Amino acid sequence: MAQLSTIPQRGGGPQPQQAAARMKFYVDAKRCIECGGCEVACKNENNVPPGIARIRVVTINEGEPGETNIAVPCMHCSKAPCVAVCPVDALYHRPDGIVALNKETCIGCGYCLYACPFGAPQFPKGTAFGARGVMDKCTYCAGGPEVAFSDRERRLYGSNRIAEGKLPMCASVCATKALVAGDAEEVAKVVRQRVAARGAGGGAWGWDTAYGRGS
Amino acid sequence: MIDFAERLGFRKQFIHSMKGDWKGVPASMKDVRTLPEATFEDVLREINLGCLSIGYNGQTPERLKRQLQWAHVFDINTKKAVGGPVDGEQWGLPWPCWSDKHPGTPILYRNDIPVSQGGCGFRATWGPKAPDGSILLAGKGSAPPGGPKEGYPAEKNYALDLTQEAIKSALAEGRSPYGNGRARFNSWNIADPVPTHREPIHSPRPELIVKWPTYDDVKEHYRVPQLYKSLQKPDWVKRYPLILTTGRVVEMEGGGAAERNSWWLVELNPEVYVEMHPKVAHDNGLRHGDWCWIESPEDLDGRSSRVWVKVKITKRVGPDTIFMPYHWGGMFEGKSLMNKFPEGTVPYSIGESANTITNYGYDRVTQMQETKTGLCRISKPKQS
Repeated sequence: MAQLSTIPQRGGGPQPQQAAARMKFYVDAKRCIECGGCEVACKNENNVPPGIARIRVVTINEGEPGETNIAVPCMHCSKAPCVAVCPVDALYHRPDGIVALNKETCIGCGYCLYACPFGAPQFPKGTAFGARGVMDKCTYCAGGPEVAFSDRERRLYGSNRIAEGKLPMCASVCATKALVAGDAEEVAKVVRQRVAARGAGGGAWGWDTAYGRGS
Repeated sequence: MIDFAERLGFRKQFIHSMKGDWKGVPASMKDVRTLPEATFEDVLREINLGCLSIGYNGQTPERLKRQLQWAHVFDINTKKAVGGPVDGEQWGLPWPCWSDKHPGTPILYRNDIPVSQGGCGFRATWGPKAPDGSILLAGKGSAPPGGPKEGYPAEKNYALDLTQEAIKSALAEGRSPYGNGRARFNSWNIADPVPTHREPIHSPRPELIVKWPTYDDVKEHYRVPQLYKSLQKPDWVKRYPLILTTGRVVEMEGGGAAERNSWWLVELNPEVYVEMHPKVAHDNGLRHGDWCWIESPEDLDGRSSRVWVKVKITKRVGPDTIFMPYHWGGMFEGKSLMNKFPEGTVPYSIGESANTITNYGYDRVTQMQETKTGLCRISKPKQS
């Protein structure tokens, strides 16, 4: 397995010469308005096959008090269960923390689908009882293990915005900036600033005042 | 524009400016694909002259072209030009733009800057006094600097004086040509001078009809009759017990005709449906995904209109309401209209149009259709 990226040390201890980024997604469930912009932008940008949702907005308690929407892409876990269970090491961690897939190595066993708590791995050619075919999932718009921007990479994995220095398409278009992407330190900074400025939870939007409760 | 004028019968007048007919305009626009560039400028100059009332006269072809050449000097946040020959101009010269030196007015009602820099009062549309004697000019201290310190009426004849002298003399004295008035709450010249609740024609609450009845029928409103009282019957709700409200879904954003041609959007929202509360659905023997007829009160032709739609069970609507998105078309009362589309233009998704069942009713002043509150009923086809 690839090494995890080095996280800058605090206080004493040897400082690494250059800290690699650790790329993350963060979704603020109090900001997501289920506009679907992330879903459409991702599909369009990466030409995602029909029926596959590399990012999906999940709505819970629809129509009831406390209805919540949250966008769920691949969360690029630090200790990804999909990477752990893949029998052929088709899934791997990049140095920047992105969990990547090699579609040429994938045998379509589906173990990653069982392991993932977010439902990120999907199978475009799969049927209920037949062969699954090769897995497809959110790539953090970082393409795949092909030459960056090559035709092959685009066809197999979609666009490679990370190599252009851009962030994933979904976070770029999020209407409310509920979905934040970037280096973990930067994302944490954004979240801290938001909580400091507005408070957390429903209180951030004045719902305590409007609805007389903190949700 | 010229083609438009030709079809409506006033081409001759449209292409005639104060300096004579426009140059290079062909005898007919029927098959014309390109026009001399001078014609586009002539059209804009015509608009400049025809829209003096709102100050659309400063956006001359020369100024707009120059802005485009100097687009790079416009600040990305303020949209204001920094330096160059366009210094101080606002991008696009938003109206009112009272002269060819005026920078445009990006924010209406800014009375902290002079009119010559984009300041503006509130347009004195209704003259200096209301019929009951109330003053309709702005109060003391509520005026852009450089002119009178309070309200003033519009400059006499400013909208019709094609020499623009009236506008110029107002500007010279620091006054906004269309005056500095105040907003009114009592709109004495329209049907309800102050906002008044009236029950919709198809009201779900008969007892409220008594207290808040709708308008009298209007025999002729902009050349069409508009019915109200004659259609407002308290027993509609007995035969059509559910409230019908129609609206947008975010994936389809606009009217729907364009959106239903986008594969990505259609994949997210593939078909028309009605949102129905679980109690209503179950009382009518419907399950999530079943099809049913939704019918609405008889229109002027005496027939119920109806749509054949799928049921989405959700608590997003209450047990008294049905919601239907309005973005679909291509099916009418259960029958597909696919064969009526030109070759190759059938969208990825077709479905019933909500407007088939929206109830008769139009706004008393604006004639906007009533799409948000109506009545309907469910009719489930019999089991075979």
